[in-house]
Amino acid sequence: MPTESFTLAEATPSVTRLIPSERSTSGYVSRTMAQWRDAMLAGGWTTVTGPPAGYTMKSGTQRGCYLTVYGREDAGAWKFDVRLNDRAMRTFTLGLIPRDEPVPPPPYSAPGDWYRIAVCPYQFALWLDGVADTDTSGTPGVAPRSFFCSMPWVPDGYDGHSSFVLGSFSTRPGFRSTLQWSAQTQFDSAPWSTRDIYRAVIPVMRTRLLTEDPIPADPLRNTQGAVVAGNAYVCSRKGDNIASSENRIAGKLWQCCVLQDNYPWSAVTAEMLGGTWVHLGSQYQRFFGAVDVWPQAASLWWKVE
Amino acid sequence: MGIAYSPPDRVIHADIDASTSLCLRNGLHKAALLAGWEIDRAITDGYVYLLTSPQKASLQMKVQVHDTGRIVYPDVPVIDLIFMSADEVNKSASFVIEYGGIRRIRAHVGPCQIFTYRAGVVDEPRNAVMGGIPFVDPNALDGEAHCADDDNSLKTTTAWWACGDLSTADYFWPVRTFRDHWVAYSNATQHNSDFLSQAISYGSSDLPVLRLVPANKPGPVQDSLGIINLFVPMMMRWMGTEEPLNFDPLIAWNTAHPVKVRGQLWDAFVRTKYVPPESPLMFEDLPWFAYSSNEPQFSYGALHWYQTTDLSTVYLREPGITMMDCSEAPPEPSPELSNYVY
Repeated sequence: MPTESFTLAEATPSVTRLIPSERSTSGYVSRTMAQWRDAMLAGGWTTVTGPPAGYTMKSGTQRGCYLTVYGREDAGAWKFDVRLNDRAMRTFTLGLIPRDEPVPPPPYSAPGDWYRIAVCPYQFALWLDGVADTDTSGTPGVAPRSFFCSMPWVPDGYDGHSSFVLGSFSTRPGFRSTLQWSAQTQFDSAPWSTRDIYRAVIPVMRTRLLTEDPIPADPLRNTQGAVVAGNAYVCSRKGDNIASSENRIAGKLWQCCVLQDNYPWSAVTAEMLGGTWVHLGSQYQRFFGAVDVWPQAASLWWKVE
Repeated sequence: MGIAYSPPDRVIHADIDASTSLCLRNGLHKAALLAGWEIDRAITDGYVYLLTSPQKASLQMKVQVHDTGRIVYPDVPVIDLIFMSADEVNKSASFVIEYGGIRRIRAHVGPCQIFTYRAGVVDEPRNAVMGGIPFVDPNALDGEAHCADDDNSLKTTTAWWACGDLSTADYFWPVRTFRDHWVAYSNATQHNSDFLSQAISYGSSDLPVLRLVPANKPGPVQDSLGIINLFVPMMMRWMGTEEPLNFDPLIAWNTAHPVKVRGQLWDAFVRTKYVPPESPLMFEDLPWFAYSSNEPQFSYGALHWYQTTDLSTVYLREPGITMMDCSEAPPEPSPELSNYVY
């Protein structure tokens, strides 16, 4: 675990570290939506009057913007209707049961049937501990097993956009198995994007010119073997185009950092940098065309209280 | 950690008359002494200097600047710079700087670091030689206060690096340095007892281990158009405003991949935006100039796709340019400076 503090710097002043929110919690929720509601309340969200089934939660407000998320259970899955400033809605589905696996779901008390949740007032994530949200090659086809929803932080005075929300779920590679997420986004009251591939990319420190060779991914450590940590910027693009080359920094994830190494799914929490962190995801080998691809070794972590 | 600042009066930016070997060596000599380098000894047509890190007196190395009469392709006279450990056991190959005609060479020199270049020129070899002792993570230094989660006994006792823009394998091919890239193809590095001198004749692979570590995409991004790093990645700027980020200039090497961060450059930072070479910038209320000029580099080859630094630029602190006009008289060390102790 790192000895270095954060290495990445903002435009000005020179160094910015963790973007803290007022509170940050983590725990487990089962299939009971009331537990999701309680976890969101503990993380700083509030309850608003909503439809009779499920719960509508409201985020904290930053730069005059807020999220409302209507969570409900529907045919064995959780569905979340996400709105930014009460405008256009996008529904994200989180399935408890892999839809292409004819295996009955385990009893609700089994650990695998409980979602890990992390919440802060502007962001929350749900995932299954100990497993990827897809297989490691990123092959689509399994039911979404993770969901990340965020209204990322931006610096004071930033006017590149007035509002931004992202939701990443895992029918394509989501936040558990790569730092190049499939995601849906909405900027500045425009419609939600429909093309999701690489719509949210978390940059890392690169050590090689090449990443295509079938070699293990490089971590980035210092002389003492300590992994280098950096800020968790998120790069995305406006509009609905498919060219990820147009991605730009759109914000920074709350409470998160990037470690320049990857970790197994069994690594759930860690004590580092003066606190407790939960493991959101790590990059692993992906099948890329005709060759195996090893991207830069990196992982994403969320600091919790 | 932020920028590693040297004592401000020991950062010299010299514009040196390089019309003759002696003019060039004298200019480098003056700049080196002003920056606090000590004369270890005089040699034939040159000097060996002792460099000491302002961070810790035991972090030292030597640099030999001399003229061996070397002529390189295409019939160009050069002086030699050799970087070495303080005990002179491990030495780099000779990196070269051209002299002659109306040429001028600039040298940005600090107490334990040097970057040379020719103003406005990026792609021409025989101009850019650089090296030094990096600023080292205090956790890795014995006797320093540390704040590591898991401190250990892997300490740094020796660390230095060097590279040049003409291949030391053949003195024919130009090669990348930090003047124009984030990798250095002909280089020498030492960390404690691990010494490596590399001489890549043509930079078409990912073999070299000395490098900066830029921020970039976590892997090759293939979008729905099937585009794989063919376009210059621009993502490390803020959306809409195109404002860049600033990074610590981490320098990394190892005897094999993966590289390890050994420290960072002094009086420098990396900014994720391309600007023409020597462009000025005010940052942290101080003047800086763009040393590197990392123009777009496109992919080539069937299997190897090349990443750029996202057009990042290495900025060096600008103390103001000191004109070093030619002095044919052999330079004498300044006693008060040669005895300077940090």
